[in-house]
Amino acid sequence: MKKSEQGKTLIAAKAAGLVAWAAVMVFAGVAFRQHRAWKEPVVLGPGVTAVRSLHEWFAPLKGTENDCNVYVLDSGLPGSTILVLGGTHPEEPATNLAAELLVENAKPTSGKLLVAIHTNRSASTVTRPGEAYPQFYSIKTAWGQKKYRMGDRSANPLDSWPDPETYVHYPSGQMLAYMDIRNINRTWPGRPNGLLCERTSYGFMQMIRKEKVDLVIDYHEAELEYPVIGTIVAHQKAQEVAAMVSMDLSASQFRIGMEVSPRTLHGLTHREIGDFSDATALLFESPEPFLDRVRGATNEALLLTGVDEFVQRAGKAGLLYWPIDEKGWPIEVRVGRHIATTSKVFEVWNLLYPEKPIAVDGLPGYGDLAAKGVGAYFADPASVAKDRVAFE
Amino acid sequence: MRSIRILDRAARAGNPPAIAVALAFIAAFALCAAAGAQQNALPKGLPELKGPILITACGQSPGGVYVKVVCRQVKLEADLEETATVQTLGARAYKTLIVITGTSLKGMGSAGVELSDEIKRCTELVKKAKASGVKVIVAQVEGASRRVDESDEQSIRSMTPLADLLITHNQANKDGYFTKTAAEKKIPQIFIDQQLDLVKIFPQIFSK
Ligand SMILES: [Zn+2]
Repeated sequence: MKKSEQGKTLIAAKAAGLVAWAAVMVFAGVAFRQHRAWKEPVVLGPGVTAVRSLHEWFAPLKGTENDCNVYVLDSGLPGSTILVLGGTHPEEPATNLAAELLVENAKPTSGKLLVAIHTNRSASTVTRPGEAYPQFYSIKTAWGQKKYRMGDRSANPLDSWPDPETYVHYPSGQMLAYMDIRNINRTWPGRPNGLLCERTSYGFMQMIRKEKVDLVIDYHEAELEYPVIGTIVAHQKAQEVAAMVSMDLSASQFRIGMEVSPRTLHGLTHREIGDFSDATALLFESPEPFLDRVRGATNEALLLTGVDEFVQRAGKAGLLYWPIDEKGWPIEVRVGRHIATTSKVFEVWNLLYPEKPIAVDGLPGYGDLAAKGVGAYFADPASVAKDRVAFE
Repeated sequence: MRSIRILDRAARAGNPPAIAVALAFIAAFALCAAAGAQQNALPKGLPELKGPILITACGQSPGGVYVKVVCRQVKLEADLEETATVQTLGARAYKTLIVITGTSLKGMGSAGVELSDEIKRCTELVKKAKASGVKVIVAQVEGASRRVDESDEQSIRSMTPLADLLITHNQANKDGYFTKTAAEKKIPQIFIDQQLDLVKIFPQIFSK
């Protein structure tokens, strides 16, 4: 082969490589774009009196990815104001689904509910391709499939970048892992001039103070290999509420434990909201086998059914902190635990603080939800007036 | 659920204090639960127990909060002190000390306490109690979820043999450790299946 021929072959090979690379980039780019741009419709239920934006409490959030919707469900009667946070970690889908179920179904008859479905919305616009996370998941309803973005634990680097070498939590000065600056459950109480999640937490704190929120409930899910699971984590101001709810639910519906928030662990809702406002805070954890490191195929089926033979085997070997059998942990049971725990918190709250009641109609019981599925509680966006649909 | 509505109305009328109403609610619930559950057998040779009670947890587990809520409900005077010391015990005429075993610190980092300090604190507390005629109950009320690691084990094994009475969650006794210790040390023992069982047990074992 002559030298010039060799050169031509090399150029052709390089060109082919470039074309292949460009094709992959276009394919991936389109997929990422579709995921980030996907809008989840939410039908405003009978209790919703307004849909506001987080920037209304902290203007600099306007136009950012984390300027999330805040649904107001106001009974118009005096009582407690309770803020519910879904989607703190968008890789925990029972959290945004439970929050959405509240928005579509809850009707307060005293007091007021504030609900964020995607507390860290930026984190719901990125997933984890390196761990084979599905981009989307769908919930079956009577009127068709309802499609959702599967998210990650931390905000999208497109919205918050670069991360610091070490994340020094404000104001405690505690050193945390660098990527935790994009994990909104490590950035409370936030600061106005920080990075995106610090500013988002700060916006929520402003809301909590201005709206005189009495209690914040933060929904989560956890892997069965993690010891904080199937439990309520309480700021010490709410420890008796948590103990009563835990005792009652464990005796009557399902086992749920209780932990008191460690005083020296910073950045979390159950610590900082209680310390930096008049509100108190509870965090609920439900079991999500999808998050376990020992899981098998990482797909939508596992996300929604929670059935996994490898996680089961880990359970048999005594490696888990929570039981699992061949029935797994289906999404309707996980959402059911959050909704039933929320209802029980309201009940106990009213008994402890009868002068500031919260009463909410329209929420399904644990048994009903587990039997009918989550989709049974989501209305068809096409069946209602346009101004009764919001988008996430 | 009917009972709750009645209690609700009573609360709004402003008669009983909120906490009493709340606790009455749990009592009503416990009665329902107890109807179906097996009786928690009371052992022979129970110590004579009275309030007021000092509750503390060796390892900062939340078990003490459950016990405090139960005490309020059955109208037993009780103080929960996270860091109770010999001085705390002397500050009031306590008749019973309840030490809760099992630790916090599960995946949430340090609670800011060293377990060895906790064991030292509680051992001294028990010693002082025994010297002053205060009865000591050592209780594991959270079952298997509070017996998962070495720190739970240390908390349990250092406190359990010191008790005048053991209250143990059945799910914590899978290896028979509590039964064996009770037999060896001749400590009377009560088993529970859930924390709500204490609502009916306490009135039987404490005299007013
Ligand atoms: Zn989480």
